[in-house]
Amino acid sequence: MSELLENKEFKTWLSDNIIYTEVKLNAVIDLEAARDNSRMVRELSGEKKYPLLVDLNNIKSITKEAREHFSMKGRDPYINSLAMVIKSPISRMIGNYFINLSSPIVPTKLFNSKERAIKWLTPYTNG
Amino acid sequence: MDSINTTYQKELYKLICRIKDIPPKKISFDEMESFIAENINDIEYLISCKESCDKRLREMADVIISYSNKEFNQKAFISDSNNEFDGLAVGINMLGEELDSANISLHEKEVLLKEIHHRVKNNLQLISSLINLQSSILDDKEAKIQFKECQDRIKSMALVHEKLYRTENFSQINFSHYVIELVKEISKTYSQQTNIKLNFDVKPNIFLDLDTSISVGLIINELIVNAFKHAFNEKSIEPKIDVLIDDQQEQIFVKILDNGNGVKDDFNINNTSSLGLTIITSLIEQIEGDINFKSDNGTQVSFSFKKQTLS
Repeated sequence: MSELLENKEFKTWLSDNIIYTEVKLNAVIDLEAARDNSRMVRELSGEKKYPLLVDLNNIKSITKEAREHFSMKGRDPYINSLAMVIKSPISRMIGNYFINLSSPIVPTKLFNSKERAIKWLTPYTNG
Repeated sequence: MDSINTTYQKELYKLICRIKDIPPKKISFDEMESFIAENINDIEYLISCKESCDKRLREMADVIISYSNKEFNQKAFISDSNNEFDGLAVGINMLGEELDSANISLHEKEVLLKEIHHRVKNNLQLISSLINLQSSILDDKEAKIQFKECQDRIKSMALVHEKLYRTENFSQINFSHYVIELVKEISKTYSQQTNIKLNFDVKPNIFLDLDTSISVGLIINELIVNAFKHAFNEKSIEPKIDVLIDDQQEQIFVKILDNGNGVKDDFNINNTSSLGLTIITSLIEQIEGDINFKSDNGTQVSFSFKKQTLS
């Protein structure tokens, strides 16, 4: 596992060629937090593009601007795929809104189990 | 009284058993009372939960109602519990943001469309003014008339665009209003013949799309100008032009009648060199309509066409 990058809203690290981002308890994600998360992902990626697994379960809310930022439209995504783990009622709502309305530019899927998310991301780990 | 109390206690006892998920037993009244006293907090907790749920549902309903007033900045409360209510509240809030964004984008498009129609109308007016300027330096009376007619045609088109940007609907105009305004506008040009009376029998609130309105407006322009120019002479008694418009089953019927000289018996619209009549023939074809000229105490022109003939 790589070093852990952390801010008020996220914990982010690289492990087995997958970047993991865990949303902290009751985090409110705005554009600034979203950009900071992208900065952490970029820092861990270097020149390579990894798959990203986001654990959304503890999220409290996310602004529209942040959702648009995470859609990666009009910018380098720094990642090649995105899996989101959604089990809590809020994360389920946010995940579905994000995937259907923000339409991210990399392959994206929602999961209610971390294991299944990792399995789906594995083919993307070779870049 | 005792029996009522006993029934009440029994029901309460059964309810607590249900909440605690334990099977009710046959117990004495005293045992029942002490069981209720020990567990009454559960009932109070349940009541407070219900009140709290009701309160949150009311709050969320209020937010949804405020969206119906286009107050998309209203937000539903999200607690730290991450329960189903919070999921619902987050969904409502995101829906509000999406609606707000779509509403802003729709408003921007409406403003832009309004601006375009305004500019088209202004440009048409500018063309009309240029023709006016050009004709002012002409000495030839016939050429001046031709220029004037050209101006009228442009004005009839400009009026459609004016109608469009003055209404909230950019795809259709109130054709009934448009025709009345157009005919009155033309009559101003022929002000020397103010004794010609205009009568309107126009069915209100007929709506047509932009392209059909422009074509039909130009046809009416030609017919009215013709009536003003050729139908009457100094000897005409109580000259009048009637404009009738009706719609039945998606078909629009237009009649322009005058009590003037009438058309010649051998008149055939397809066999004429007049620019105005050529324009009429071509536009009638465009709207896939039918036109008929008749002499009966003046000229009676009637044409009909389907609504939305142009795509």
